[in-house]
Amino acid sequence: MTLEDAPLVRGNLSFHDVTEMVAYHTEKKTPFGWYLAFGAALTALGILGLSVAYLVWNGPGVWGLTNPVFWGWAIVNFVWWVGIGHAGTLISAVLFLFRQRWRTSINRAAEAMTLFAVACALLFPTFHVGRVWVIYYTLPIPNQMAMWPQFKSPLLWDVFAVSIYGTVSLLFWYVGLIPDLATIRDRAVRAGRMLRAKILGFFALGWTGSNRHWRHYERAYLILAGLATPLVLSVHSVVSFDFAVSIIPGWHTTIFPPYFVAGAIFSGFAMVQTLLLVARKVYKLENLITLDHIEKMNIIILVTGTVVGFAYITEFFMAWYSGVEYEQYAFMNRATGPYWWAYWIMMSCNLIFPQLFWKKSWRRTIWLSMAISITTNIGMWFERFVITVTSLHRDFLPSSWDYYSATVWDLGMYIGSFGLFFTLFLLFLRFVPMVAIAEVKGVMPQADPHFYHGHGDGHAMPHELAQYQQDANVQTAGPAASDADDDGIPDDPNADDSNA
Amino acid sequence: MANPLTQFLFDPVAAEGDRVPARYRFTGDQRWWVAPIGVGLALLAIGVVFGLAAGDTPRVLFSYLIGWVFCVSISIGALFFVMIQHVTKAKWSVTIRRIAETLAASFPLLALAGIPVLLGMHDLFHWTHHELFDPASPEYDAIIAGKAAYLNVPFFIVRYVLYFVVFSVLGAKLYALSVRNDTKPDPQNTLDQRWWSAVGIPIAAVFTAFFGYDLLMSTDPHWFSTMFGVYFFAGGWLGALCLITFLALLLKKAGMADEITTEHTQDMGKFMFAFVVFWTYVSFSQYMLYWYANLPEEIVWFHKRFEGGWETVSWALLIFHFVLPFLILLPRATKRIAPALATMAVWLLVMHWVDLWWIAMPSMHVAAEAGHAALASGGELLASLQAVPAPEAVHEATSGMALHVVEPHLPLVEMAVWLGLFGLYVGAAILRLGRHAITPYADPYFADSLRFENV
Repeated sequence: MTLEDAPLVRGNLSFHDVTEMVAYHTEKKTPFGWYLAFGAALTALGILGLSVAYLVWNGPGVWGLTNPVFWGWAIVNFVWWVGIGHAGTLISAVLFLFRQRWRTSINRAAEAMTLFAVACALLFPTFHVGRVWVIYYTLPIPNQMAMWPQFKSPLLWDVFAVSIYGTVSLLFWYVGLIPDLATIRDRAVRAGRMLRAKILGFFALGWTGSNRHWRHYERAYLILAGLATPLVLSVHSVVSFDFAVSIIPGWHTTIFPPYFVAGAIFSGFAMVQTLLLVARKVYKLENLITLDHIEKMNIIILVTGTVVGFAYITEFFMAWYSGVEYEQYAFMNRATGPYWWAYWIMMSCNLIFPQLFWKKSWRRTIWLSMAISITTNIGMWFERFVITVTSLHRDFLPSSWDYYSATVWDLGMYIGSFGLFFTLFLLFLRFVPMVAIAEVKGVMPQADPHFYHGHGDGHAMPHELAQYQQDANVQTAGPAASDADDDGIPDDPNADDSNA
Repeated sequence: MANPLTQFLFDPVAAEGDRVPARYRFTGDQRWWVAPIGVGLALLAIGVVFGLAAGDTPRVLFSYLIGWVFCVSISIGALFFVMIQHVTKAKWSVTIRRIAETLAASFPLLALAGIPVLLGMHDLFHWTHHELFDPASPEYDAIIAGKAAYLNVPFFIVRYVLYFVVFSVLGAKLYALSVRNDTKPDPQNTLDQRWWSAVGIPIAAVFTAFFGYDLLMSTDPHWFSTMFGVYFFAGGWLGALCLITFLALLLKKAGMADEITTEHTQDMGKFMFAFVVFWTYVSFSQYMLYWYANLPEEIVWFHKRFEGGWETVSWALLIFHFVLPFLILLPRATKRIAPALATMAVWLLVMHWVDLWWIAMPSMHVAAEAGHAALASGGELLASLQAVPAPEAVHEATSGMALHVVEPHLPLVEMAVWLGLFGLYVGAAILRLGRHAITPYADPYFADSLRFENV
């Protein structure tokens, strides 16, 4: 174990290699496997259409909602999808602000995932209402009745939060895409595919990559990242307010805003992990999305999983400490009541399994990363289920206690939302560069202005710093310090993946 | 300083003196630490003497509690700062890290300084009164009695010891590894610091939350909030960022620590800005959720802070702890102009104290007016409101509570005690800082940190 950082791009790639590697997938003939996957996604999308049509025609009574439990799977799925969407913004905005250069090869796919997850999330509040055709009443539009929405309702804040979030995410993603669209436009021109070049040229907005373009671009990107960061925190906090502003025991608690945000990062990173572990294999991007990227994402899953676990324990402790019997009962009911199984699935998937990532070799194991990323999303679905349903099905009055179970139409909507998600995601993989080409090039060693000085290893030092170097006994520690070519890394992309 | 006890309490590593290259040495004179310690002792004495002369022992004890928790919260924040830099393998912050490490090594002294709090428990923490737990007593309080398994003096002292043992071990380990690396560089030191940080963060996080529950939240034992641990952490973390930044700017002003450049202090300014927003997010969420639901057992806490003069402090917190710092720290210029950034650091440190004062001081009546505790208890209030739902009765019940609020008099005693303790705290930290290099110049990432520029 040394202190030397692993290179972000492996395999000794040149700039051209990276372009070729990523752009190729938007240009090649569509592979048969893609059609298979797309067919499956479209089938699920059909289930969504059917479920929505049946729901709107018959009313929300087709779901399993009962009198005490008026919020069921629809809200659970809504919060779950919104949570998943948050990782995209986290990766592209927060990690950008923290100068985490490893974000560059995963941010494009993560942002795309955000957009599609938000689209899925929006389905549920839209169709959860009894009369979907008057849902525009939630917008503050001047009307002949002089009626306005109630601004004290967090459900209205949701409308604003999620729609602004969707808009900003789209802008952020699109701004990031412009240089890459210009790249594949230019490649289309060279390949003589003029229709494709025209379409891409339209979306690339005449990008030429001039100095002035880049200066504006980077400033805009920074500002968007700065705006998206408080936005992402506030959006999921607003989602948490849906529960926390109520007086229901188990819902009304002040830790919800940061705890929901942590849970969103947790499940979102898990979903990115699930998708990218497959995508890097299928699209042979192992040199760009390396095992180090996977490890870093696993560390974030470990950290946020621990934060979420801390919140579970805090809630439990505070329920006891409060001395409020309803609160105490709500938590005993979670652990030992009729939904004990949901609670323990949640606890084991969220609190226990990610702790395996304390071990370095395990968080660098592909199959284990895959398994835990999936159990994390199962666990986070159950977290929302436990919060929503167990708090509602038994509250203040024992005469209004009931059990809730979902119907096939709840299930249809949920499966259908995956159809929507994967339809969009597969289209993205097919038509848009799935890795941010321009950004990855920026973090390659060749992009360092000192790269061609000295040993050509990017470690050449300006004169004004050389004096400090002399003072310090050891500057670059570890065996790599004497390694002139900065490598010491196997160039074979699959050398590290032998345990995959 | 060869005395092992002093070394254990004050600085686990013997001073290196001339083994450090001159460039990285602390070149200030004794005034750097004599002045804060001297002024601190004087202010502490003045505050305590005047407070006691006025016959108000609880007030002096509360002032001491607030001032002491202020210092502890900053050390906790500094400890997290160091640990987070290590686990994220941050390079930019290396040059400024020694200041944070020095602050994080203060826990043994802080544990000693907390002894008056333990001695004054009976006046500080209402739940230490035995009669509350005795069903035969007229003072019996069923809610507090239900918490007896947690809120009892022996367990409280056990927790106190546990907090300080863990914080001290983490602070001392990270400090000693870093300081030793100056004269005996070894990459293993960095790896060890990383290990201690990774293990330390989850443990320290839980302990920080419970420290907040024990030392601040339990001054009003009826009240509870799951967010409180995060709220306490947010304040301390912001305080630590401000103090680290201020000390860095002070050293630079005196011609030391050239390695800490404007780039580094600008980054600290960004952190200050971000955590001003984070503090607001946490404290506003806590307030808004209780205001919105307005459940009697929870809202009394905010009720006390919106009556009898405390509403001014509450509004001042909103404006001076959030709105103005937000606007002032937003432009890039503020973060790069040393006097402006130093002013904001001092400003936010003062606001951190105001925040703690606002949290703890209105709870003083709970201890002072033991006989009326029942009125402040949520269950009782709920029952009385349900029994007599007439609006006048509601008003009577709620304004009755206000009668028991200690009005915020001009906090001269409070501030004297706070500044006294803070002077001692900073003086000791500077004395420790002067014994070693003021920047970890042999750190493997030191050159990366020097090279760092904001783009």
